[in-house]
Amino acid sequence: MYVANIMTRAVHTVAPDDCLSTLNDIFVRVSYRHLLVKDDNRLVGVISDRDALKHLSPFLGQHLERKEDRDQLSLKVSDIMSTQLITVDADTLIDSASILLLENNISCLPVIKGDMQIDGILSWKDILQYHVYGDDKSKGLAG
Amino acid sequence: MAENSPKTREDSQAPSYRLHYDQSAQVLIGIVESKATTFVSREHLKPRIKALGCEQFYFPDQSLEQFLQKLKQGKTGQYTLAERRDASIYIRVATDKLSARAQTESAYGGAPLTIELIREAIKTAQIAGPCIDKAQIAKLVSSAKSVDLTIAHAILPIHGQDAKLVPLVKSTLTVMKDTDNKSTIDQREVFDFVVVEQGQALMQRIPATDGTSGVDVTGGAIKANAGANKAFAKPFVGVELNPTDSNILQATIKGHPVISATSVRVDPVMTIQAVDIHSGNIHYDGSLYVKQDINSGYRIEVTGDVVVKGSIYQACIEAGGNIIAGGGVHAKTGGDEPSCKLSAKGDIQAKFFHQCHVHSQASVHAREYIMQCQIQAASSINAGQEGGKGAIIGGTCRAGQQVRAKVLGNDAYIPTKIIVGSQQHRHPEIHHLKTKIKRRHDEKKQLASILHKIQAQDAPIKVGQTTLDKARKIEETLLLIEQQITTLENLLAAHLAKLPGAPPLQVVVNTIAYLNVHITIDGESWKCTEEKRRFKISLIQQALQVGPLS
Repeated sequence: MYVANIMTRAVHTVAPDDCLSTLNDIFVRVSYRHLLVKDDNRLVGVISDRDALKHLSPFLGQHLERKEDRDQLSLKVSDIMSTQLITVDADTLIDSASILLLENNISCLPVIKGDMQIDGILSWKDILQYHVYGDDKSKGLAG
Repeated sequence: MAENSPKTREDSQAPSYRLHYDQSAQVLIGIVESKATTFVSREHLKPRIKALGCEQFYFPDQSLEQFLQKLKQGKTGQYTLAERRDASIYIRVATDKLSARAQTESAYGGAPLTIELIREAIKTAQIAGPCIDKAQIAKLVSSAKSVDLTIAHAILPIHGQDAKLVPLVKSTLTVMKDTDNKSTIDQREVFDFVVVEQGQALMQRIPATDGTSGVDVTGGAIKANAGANKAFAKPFVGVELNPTDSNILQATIKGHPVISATSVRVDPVMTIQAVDIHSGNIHYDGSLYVKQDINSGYRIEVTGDVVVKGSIYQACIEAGGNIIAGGGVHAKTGGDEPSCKLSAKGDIQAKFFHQCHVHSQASVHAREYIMQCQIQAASSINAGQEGGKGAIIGGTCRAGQQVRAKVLGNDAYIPTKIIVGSQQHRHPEIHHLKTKIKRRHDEKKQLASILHKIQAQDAPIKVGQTTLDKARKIEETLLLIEQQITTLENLLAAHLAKLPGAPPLQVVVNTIAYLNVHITIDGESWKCTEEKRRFKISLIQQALQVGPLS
């Protein structure tokens, strides 16, 4: 079985110039925890809710909020995203992707095609679902 | 064996628990008889466990804590606290049978791991003696801890050699002269023209070999791939197989040998002093030997080699074999049609090429320089590889496989274009397959690195009480990736077989490359932005790699 069979094709992307406040708004609304960063139609980074939280002041919205805290919100995605990318493609074996996730201690893998064009995303949840429920999204799509 | 709770001041009223070693089940049992009236801790239990000789036993996580809890709560009953375990060994043979690994569990109060046990496990796993790594076995015996080691490796087969066709003669015999030397060299004395006699051996076929089989770790044979066979290409022209040795091709007539990769033919030879007003244009079915020069404005078409002791001046030559000039090829630019155009199915070789158009279906060789030329060679372009200055300056040189020169460009930074392979991705399906293969290789590299780290730990990895065999899983995944690569490479080979030969693409600079040298290999570009010495550029897995010359 290959990554193509279980990956999520609808990917939420952000631009490197987007700011932390935009990211914060997105992560508040969605259930997933990773966004891919796309520039000129190429994958350039990955950003997680934890990356965003690390740079958000806990005093925001509180009466102790300072100017420095508000300034943090204008940080760019490119300043805080991960650029050391471990990626897979649609033909990667699920076992291979699982080993990469486990041994690199990461929780999602961008799926790319050609010259770093985004094809989808694979998270540990997708892999777990496949192993527990045998969920094959490609069958659903084919049907 | 049983042990009653000793009467101490604290528990003198009544024993609340007992410890008992069940020899038949080889387990240490804790018996709660009543609720403890005093505090009992692990420290109280330790000397009693020792007294029963069970302190080395395997105690599952929290077993003592849970027992103390039951005791505190007065939940009477028998609870297993520990078990005696003998050392154990488990040998696993890899799916491809190229290696075998041993995982050991050290003894917990039981029999230790002995060489006899190891031998027994090796016998059970049917590991072949010659494949066993004795140093690793010694490690197994001496290690006091649990280990995970590769103990056997397959003896790999030695694959057979492909058949070879070795020329026994040359088209020309070079008279070695040092063209780096400042002294004058007579261009007409650079080589001798070769004429073979009837019956002379010209080419030898060295048959393919079968190779030597290997042995997998279970003693099974690993078949060696036999070398591919190769026969002399037909039709034979001026040659025949030696009647007593069919691996030798010999001349049937006196003439000039024209050598190709798969055969040799002997052509009748036309020998003339010079191509000039006395000879006129030449059209000849055979080889042409010119003792002096080929002069301006003449046209030559021959089916064999053209060998010129002198120089070629603005002539157009078309040869079915090689074009070999002792001197240079002189031309000048201007006009719509090139004034000097050389075209050959074989190699084209000269002392230098100047402002000419050259097209070879094999290779182009220049001793001194290639200046402001349009050169195209299906195989390679070589400058100064057998002596000489070896410079390529200006113009465009396109080679199917390789360009090798001592110097690229010059200190005036004249734009010099070197193109190897195709300029664009002319075959997108091949590019797509290569990208896929590259990705699989990248994955293989990542997984191999993870495997290496895990194997370097030399100790089993546990989740709770379950021993994980991570290495085996990664090995199996690597095998699957290997299979993917093999499938993709077979597909790629099938595609490439439909195209002209596609060996490694490379540019080699033996001395220096100057600014404004632009190199393109299979569509990937590199520009020389500073003077760079002794290096090579190769296209490896769709990426240009620049490295020093070894």
